[in-house]
Amino acid sequence: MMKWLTALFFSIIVHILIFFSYVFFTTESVENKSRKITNVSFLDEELQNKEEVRKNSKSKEKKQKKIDTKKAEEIKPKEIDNFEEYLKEEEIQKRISDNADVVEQISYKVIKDIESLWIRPNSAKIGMFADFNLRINRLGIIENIEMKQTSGDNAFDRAALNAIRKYKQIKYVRNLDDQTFQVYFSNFTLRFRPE
Amino acid sequence: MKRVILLFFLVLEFKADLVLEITESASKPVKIAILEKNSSSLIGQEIINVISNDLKRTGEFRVLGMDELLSIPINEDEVIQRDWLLLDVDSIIFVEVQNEDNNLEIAYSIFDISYNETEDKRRVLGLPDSLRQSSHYVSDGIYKYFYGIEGISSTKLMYVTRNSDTHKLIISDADGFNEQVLLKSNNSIISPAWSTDAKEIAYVSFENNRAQVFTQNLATGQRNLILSSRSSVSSPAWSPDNKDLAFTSTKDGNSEIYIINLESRKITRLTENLAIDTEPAWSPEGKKIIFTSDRSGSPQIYEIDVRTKLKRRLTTEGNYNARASYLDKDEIIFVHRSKTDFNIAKLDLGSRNLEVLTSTKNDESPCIAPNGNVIIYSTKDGNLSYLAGINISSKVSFKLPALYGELKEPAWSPFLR
Repeated sequence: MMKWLTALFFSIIVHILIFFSYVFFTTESVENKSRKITNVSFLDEELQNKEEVRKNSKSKEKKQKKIDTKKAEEIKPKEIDNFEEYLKEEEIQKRISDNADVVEQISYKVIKDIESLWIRPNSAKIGMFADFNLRINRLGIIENIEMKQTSGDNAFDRAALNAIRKYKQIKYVRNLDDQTFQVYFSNFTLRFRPE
Repeated sequence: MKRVILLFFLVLEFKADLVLEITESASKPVKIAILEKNSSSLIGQEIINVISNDLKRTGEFRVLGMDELLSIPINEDEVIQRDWLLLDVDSIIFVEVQNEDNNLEIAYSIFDISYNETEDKRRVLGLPDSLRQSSHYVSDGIYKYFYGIEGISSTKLMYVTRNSDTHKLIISDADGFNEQVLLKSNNSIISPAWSTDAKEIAYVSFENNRAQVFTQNLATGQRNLILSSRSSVSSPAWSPDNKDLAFTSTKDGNSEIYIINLESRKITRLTENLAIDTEPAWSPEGKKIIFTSDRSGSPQIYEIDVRTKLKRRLTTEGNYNARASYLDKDEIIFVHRSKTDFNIAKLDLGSRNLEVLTSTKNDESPCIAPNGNVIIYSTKDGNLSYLAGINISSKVSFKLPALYGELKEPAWSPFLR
């Protein structure tokens, strides 16, 4: 009889532990998700908002079975607000995404241009690299070149620096909007790393 | 686009640190002009011609002729940067020659066009009769400035020539000029090899109607007989510390690889196989030797550890791979038969990537320049054999003047400093 009672007791304890574990981990995942929603994923945020609205309205339904028209109107503009916010955020997201494309295109062109000017010395070895910080003005003219990381090989550093000096101007940035220019190209790093 | 890295990207703050990676380089030569500074002299022009030819031969420089220039400054102050930018010139080399009191002094400066200032200044001192050699040193200085590794214009070549029944062992400058005959014989001379300090050479001579390995001091001319055998002896190769010679001999019945200590004259047998083992070459650190063996049925390259005598086969592609040397500890070059042609090929021992370097047809005896960037080999065009070379980084090939009916077994000297 004692054995049965002990087994029953442990079984209850185990079930309680499982229950708490489930609650704990479920809550954690919601927190993670909400953090993610706050920073990046706008679509999820909208779903979250909708979910919250739905939960709110459900609870209100339970408490007050009758919903007056005023409250209904209040909810509607709230939904519209969320939607507008969503559109705004989506627009920002789209702009960032479009900019990223443009930045990538310009970056690709700059890389190709400098590669056509870089005469790699024979002392260059795989794994060797040199970093240069470039400051350029709104017209794309390179105003300052600063070596951030030397390769340890004079000829390598010199050849890289010569390629940048010959390049002089990144004409592609003239068509960028001011904000994108400032963010990406007013100050950036060129890394020479032979493959 | 993997080479564009957005290291730091926050949507709300709009901050990004853009890193662009340049991984490929232009396959074009450095464009320069070489001008005499403050004067125009015959000796100056002669020196400029030597330097110009040295640099052109590498394939890594484009040296502008005087007729291509928009202006001819006589010193740095007269350089009009715009003229040179239009020509896309990288640098002007100003050469100043002083030949007084039995001393030759060549001062040179490298004027960088994009910086619009002198970046490097150096001097080479020599005797008046060393004009070509001194000029070669200038070429090497310029080469090192741009390409970061030592130039090889001031090094020497050794090779064997044969005209009818006369065999000669010759040393010349790396450009083929200034030949000096070290040995003349009516019998064959084979397998010349430089010691790693460039003070001595070794070769096999049949002058006494038997195969004899000699070493010869280049400064004194003194010859030492190291080995004498009625059986076949060939391919002496100096160990990196110059204490040993590896060689091939049939003294025990068939062709095997041996090492002889030059001081004690003790001979150690390295290989023991019924097949032919020949053409030994030391690894840069002196711990291993590569050799050619037909133990698998066809000539292939093998490597043996000198201490443990453990062997491994290095080449697997093709049915003829022979006469190997280490380019560095990770790469070897050798003669490789591709279809019907014999070419010089390079094998990466890590990636197993095989690259055929030459496009001539009957290539043999490849040897590597001390900077590891140029390979010279003998090749045949009809009945005429000559020396040809290829620059590994620029892939530019060149020919040395063919003056002999037969020219073979080139050996490139170490740096002569």
